[in-house]
Amino acid sequence: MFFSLRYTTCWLLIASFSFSLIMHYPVRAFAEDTTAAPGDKSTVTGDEAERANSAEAAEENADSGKDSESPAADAEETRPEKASAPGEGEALKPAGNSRKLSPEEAVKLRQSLKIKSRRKLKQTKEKDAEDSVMKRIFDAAEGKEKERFNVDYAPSEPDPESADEETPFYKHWIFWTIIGVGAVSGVVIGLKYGLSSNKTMSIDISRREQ
Amino acid sequence: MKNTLALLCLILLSLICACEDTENLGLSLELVTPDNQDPFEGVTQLSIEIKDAGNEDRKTTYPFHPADGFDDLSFRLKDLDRYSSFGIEIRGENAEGEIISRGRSTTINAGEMENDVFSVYFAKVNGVSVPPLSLGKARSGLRIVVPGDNDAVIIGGSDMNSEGTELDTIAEVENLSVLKYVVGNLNYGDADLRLASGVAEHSVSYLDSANILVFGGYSRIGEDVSYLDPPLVISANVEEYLIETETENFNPQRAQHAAVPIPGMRQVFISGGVNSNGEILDDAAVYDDETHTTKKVFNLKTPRRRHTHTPIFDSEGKYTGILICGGTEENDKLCEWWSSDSDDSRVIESDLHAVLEGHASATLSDGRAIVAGGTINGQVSDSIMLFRMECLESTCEPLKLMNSVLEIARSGASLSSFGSGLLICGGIDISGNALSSCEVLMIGEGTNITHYSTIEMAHARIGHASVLLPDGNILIAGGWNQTEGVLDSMEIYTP
Repeated sequence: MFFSLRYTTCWLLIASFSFSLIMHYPVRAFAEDTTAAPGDKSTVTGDEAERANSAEAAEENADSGKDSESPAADAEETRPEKASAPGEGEALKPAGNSRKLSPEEAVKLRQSLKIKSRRKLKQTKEKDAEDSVMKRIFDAAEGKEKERFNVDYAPSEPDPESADEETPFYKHWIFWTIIGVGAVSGVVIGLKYGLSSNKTMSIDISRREQ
Repeated sequence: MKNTLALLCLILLSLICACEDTENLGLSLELVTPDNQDPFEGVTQLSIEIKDAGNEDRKTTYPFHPADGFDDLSFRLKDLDRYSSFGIEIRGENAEGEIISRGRSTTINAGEMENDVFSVYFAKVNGVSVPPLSLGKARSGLRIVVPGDNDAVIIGGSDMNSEGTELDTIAEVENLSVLKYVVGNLNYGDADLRLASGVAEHSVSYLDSANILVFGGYSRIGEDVSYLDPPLVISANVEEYLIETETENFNPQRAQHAAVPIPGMRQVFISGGVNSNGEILDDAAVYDDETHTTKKVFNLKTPRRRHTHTPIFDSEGKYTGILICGGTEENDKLCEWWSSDSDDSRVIESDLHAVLEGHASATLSDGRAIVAGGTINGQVSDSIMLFRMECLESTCEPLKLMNSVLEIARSGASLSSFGSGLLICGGIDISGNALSSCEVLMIGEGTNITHYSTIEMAHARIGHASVLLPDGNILIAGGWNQTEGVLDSMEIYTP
């Protein structure tokens, strides 16, 4: 009974879906580990991203002439508080072995960053500008040079559009579904025809009515 | 982790279920038995042998002993080895273990026949029986060709009255399915295939499993007679089921000619015949199925009509040439030989000087050729003539005549070769009466050819046709006789 096309198709679908589910999570975790691993020049830690963002905001402030503080100092001072706050998504978690950057290094790092999403870049700039304004207000009111609100203006959920653009193909469920369907189909077809010699047949013999 | 393991188990279970070794191919076999005999008479056991079509050594035999006889024959063979293609032979054995009835299937493709029914004609051995089948159209002068493993195609012929006067020719093309043992009009697409006009005194030759060449012949409607032109190919491969072909330097308007497929090539050798002016022809041509063209190749050494073409093979089964015999009034040119490596034929030098007509010829299973019966110098003959190719270049007689081999002298008989035997059926005797007998000849080494038995058909037949079917039986169909007129009946010889 399991030989029929209907049963085989059902089992194929079940097996394929299961395979895609199984493979999706471990690979995603693997990808996260790879992203967070130190020493890899192709990856960017949350710490470095924050430093680059701070440097960019400081540069804008310097251009506007409204702030007499050194942009580099601002970038350095905001880094420790930002490091403890959650970044944009899981991949922006800070690494433990960060160090302070000079203003030149910060600018250089910013230029080397690949920010693929313009929308994300805009959000980051707006957030840093607002952060800078709030910082000045509270500094003036409380006279506390190194205290300010620890506000994270990053969206709590990744934007679907930017997530689609940034998600690697190997983390997408469609990819693993296709792989799963192909693998399971290959195994089933191979077993089916490879074992065909062991299959049996029955013959009903009767006499034609005259 | 637990979920992952559970899912892995689910996948493994799926694979095991999908590939479980309980898959069973279901087939149904229908035993077709004759109308005029009981093949189970005296049978105490059926031996059902299933042979792998790709490996003759791989076969299994299942004995079957019915408790209540074979009248209500219905049983199942279960858990058989599954072959991709196979053949079944059913043998009825008597109490002494002798095989007294037999039926064989054609090659069954298991994948294509799943949940389908195939048939086996089961009859007494060495007997001619009447199957529960008949032609849709009674016809004499019909031609039968077996283009593939499962079919026999019946083309042309004429209606006749009991005086032997030809009436209208027949356009319907019929088909005997050996796989199902049914007869019907040959059906291509949604309609029955029908020639534009009836045809008689024509030739049919298989080209491959899907193409048949119909060459020459004439159409008669009352007194109006017209010769077939151009030659036709009946094809199953294209939407146009009747393909008209070309000719070069060869007039296709002829009847009573001879044609035979050239082994190993999609070509047909055609020669002689009589044209619409009544002239006997001597030209020969080859039809090439790749170009759909018939081209003249040479002239016979004498004009011939109602002659025979017989392909010859050497001891290794290699095609060596075609034997062309009879149909001429020149008694020193009884037969010609067209070698496969020659551009022309040559007369076979022989001590036998005779005018031969009404004979039949066949290729033996060992590649030699036999010419049987006919009239020799105007006398209906009981002789056979064995062609020995090895004698063409030596001093021995290449056309070895053996007198009185046939029990009954006959002309206009049909001749079919099977295994190590020959079946010659019907024709007319020395009095001109239609014969209902068949004779079986056994072929031994050298010139050891002996009469084995004489069997009666249900009908006397002249102008009939016989052919070896893919299941090993010989089909005898159509013809006419002086008492019944034209016949639509079929008979089957089971070796």
